Amino acid sequence: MISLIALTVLLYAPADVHAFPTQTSPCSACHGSDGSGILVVTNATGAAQTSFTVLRGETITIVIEGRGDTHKDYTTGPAIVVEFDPNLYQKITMSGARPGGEGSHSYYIQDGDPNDREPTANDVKGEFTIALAPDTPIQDYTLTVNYPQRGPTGVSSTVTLTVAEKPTPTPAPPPTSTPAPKATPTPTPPLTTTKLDCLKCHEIRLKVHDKLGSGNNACWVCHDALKKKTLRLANETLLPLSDAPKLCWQCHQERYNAWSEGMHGRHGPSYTSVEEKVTCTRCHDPHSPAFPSITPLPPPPPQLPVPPLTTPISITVDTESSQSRAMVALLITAVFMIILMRKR
Amino acid sequence: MIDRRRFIKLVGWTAGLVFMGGYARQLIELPGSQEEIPASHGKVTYAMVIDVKACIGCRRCVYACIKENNIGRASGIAWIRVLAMKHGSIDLDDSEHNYTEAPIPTRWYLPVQCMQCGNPPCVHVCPVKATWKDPDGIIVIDYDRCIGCRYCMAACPYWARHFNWKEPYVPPEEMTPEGGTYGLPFSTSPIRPIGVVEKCTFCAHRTRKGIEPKCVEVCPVGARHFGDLNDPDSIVSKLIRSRQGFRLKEELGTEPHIYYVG
Repeated sequence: MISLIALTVLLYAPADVHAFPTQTSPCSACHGSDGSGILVVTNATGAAQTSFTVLRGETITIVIEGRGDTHKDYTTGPAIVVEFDPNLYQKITMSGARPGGEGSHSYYIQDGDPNDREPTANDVKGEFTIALAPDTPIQDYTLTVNYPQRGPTGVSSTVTLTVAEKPTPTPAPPPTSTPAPKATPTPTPPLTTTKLDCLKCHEIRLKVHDKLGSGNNACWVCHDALKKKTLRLANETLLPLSDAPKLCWQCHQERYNAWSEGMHGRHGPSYTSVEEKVTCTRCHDPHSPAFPSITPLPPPPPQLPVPPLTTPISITVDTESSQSRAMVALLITAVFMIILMRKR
Repeated sequence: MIDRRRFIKLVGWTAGLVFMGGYARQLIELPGSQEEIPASHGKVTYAMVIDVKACIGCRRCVYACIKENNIGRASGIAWIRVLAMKHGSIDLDDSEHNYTEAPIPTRWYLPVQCMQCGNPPCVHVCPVKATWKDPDGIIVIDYDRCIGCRYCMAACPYWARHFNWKEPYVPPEEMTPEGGTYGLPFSTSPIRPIGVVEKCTFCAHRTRKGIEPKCVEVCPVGARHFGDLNDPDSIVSKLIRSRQGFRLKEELGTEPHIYYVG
């Protein structure tokens, strides 16, 4: 359910950054239902509010309430979803809410009671506690608050989150008596600015991942456009090829969580060492990530009908085995002893 | 002074005792290849978690198990069977055992083997105490004691035990030296004799050394997870805590040690 509600609005896209992968089918394609609902967004003190200001590195709490549906056919109950700007999504840590499906940049809180068919009060209440990283870019972000079960397109409401700079204490003026040594500027290596033409040398046909784009643009979604053998996240962080899971996480958060928990994927040969994690690209070809189809082996031959026993089950003595020889030796010794005893 | 008669007697006794003692050591010693398998101890409780959502019914585990544990190739025995279950149903009687195509979207796949029950009904019914629960939770069979009465097969609710109607044959080049022996001291051959019951041992010869069972190792989709229930940080403990799986026929009180999640 959650994976289909991910209609992410790309509000923030710097000119040189490629489009972040999004899902194309709107939520209402699957989640349509009748009726109308309400959504109330409040701050921590309970006052209704639609725009919030938060400092970098600080934490904010947004409370969202929604009225349940009279036409619910979901067994899991309704959920409140907050979709984030993809650039903000990279920088937040959420507590109390669960990450949304693959391809979305959302967190959701689910109502625990699936059976409230005729609600009269707001039956879903989500308390989203959002912690911002200290390096969050300063700007106004639009969060889409969604209640997808209600109405043909769901009830949505827009909340503006303004990220502001944390006021830094003014540093004391440096003493004038000892002037600081003049810093010598370190020469920086000249950066290549021409983008690589990947398709000039590589003939790679994308399957499944062809939704990332076409031509070289598709390559540059994951690979750095300037530096070979380097991956690049949407927030411009460069990664070595071996660090692929972090890149995959950008779209496949649910899978990533299952993988880091140990549920998805395989382990090393020993069950005691959990460190040996098999990374994404060991099983999935990043260019056509669908797992190859495996044909099943034939069923083992049936055990029945039982063949009639032609020979009776008998104990056979294997003269070659050391145990049989030991038994024979024991017997001989016993006979020898009996004879000796008798003679006395 | 020692006379000739007493001297010969003394030499005879000494020679006899030395001769016998040399062989008697072999009787109580483990055969060479099994010496390295650590004995079962109660500090661990083995368990398996199977992700039925991931299983594609490819039967790779079935055949890897046959090869690892030296199951007779023509005897029709497979310690693991994969059931193709109807969509939305958990009725084992309604499942298909001999499917040839997989995965089919309307089916889900349930691998079934010995559940290594905490309260094993097969152990209670054995009239000769040929099967028991080891301290680490693995149910083992002493094939030398088994009389082939098959009471345990009737008692097992999971169809996990199999009877050797035929003399099992394994090609010598495909023989796994320790497969299926449990490290029992008197098991000299890794193949079972005719006329005894056999079943999954959680690959005791591997798991007691810290290696995963063969079925876990070969699963191409990583649907099987193995570990120690006593260790709260083991993969199985974590998955059981977070995913809240189910066990088969829990209402019978058998306390199976294979958990299914999905």
